[in-house]
Amino acid sequence: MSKPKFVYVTYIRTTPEKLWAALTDSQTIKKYWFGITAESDWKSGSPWSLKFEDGRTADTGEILEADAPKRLVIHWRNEFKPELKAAGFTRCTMQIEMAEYYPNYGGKAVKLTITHEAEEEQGGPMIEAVSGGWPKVLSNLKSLLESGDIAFKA
Amino acid sequence: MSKPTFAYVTYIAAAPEKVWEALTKPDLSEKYWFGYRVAAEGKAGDLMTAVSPAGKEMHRDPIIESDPPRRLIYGWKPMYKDMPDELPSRVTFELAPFKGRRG
Repeated sequence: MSKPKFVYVTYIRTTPEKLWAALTDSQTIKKYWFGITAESDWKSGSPWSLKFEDGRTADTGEILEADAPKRLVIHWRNEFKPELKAAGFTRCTMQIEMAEYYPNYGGKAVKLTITHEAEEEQGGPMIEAVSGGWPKVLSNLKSLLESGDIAFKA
Repeated sequence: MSKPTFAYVTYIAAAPEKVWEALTKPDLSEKYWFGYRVAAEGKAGDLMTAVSPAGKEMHRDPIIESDPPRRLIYGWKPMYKDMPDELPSRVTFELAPFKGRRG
């Protein structure tokens, strides 16, 4: 039986380097991720966590792959919701590529693909949860990079 | 067996009415739909039409539901020469205002 998976693609008018920076800078993350900060040095093998503003840990894991500015893979488990923590570890891949270039329609853009998959058979609840979260976070990231402002506050 | 479905959610800092206009008016769709002029301004039973940048008609599909600015449903069977046997599908747009405020 195949493990639960969520895939989300968005196109952002920015450069791969700026997008990578936005995905791996704690203070920038806080702007588009509803106040959550990420802690990591973003090197392969290093620990990684997401923390609430009050310091509580939201999610933990480690960086599995970090190939700037193309590919970031995170080992990821929720910590603060028992039913999501019980869903076990997941693997989140962030792939950055140049979008197909339509010269007459707005210039170059970057294609960001998020693939978030469960590693355990019981991973469904976590993938369902992130399926709701990613469109919000990435819509805010896209708005921030393109317009200087996020789309909305929760 | 359930039919294949693709669902995509995005959050946009604009009023539902503005997004509805962009989805239904060809002068606006042309700007983001790679030059395609897509019109869906009618009510259920009227047509959604789409014209390519080269001026060729690509869609003449029924509007199934039109409830501005909340819900728009139209059929989808593109008139591409190399897709003559494409079966019709349907596209549903649901627009919901969100509680948050900007930045």
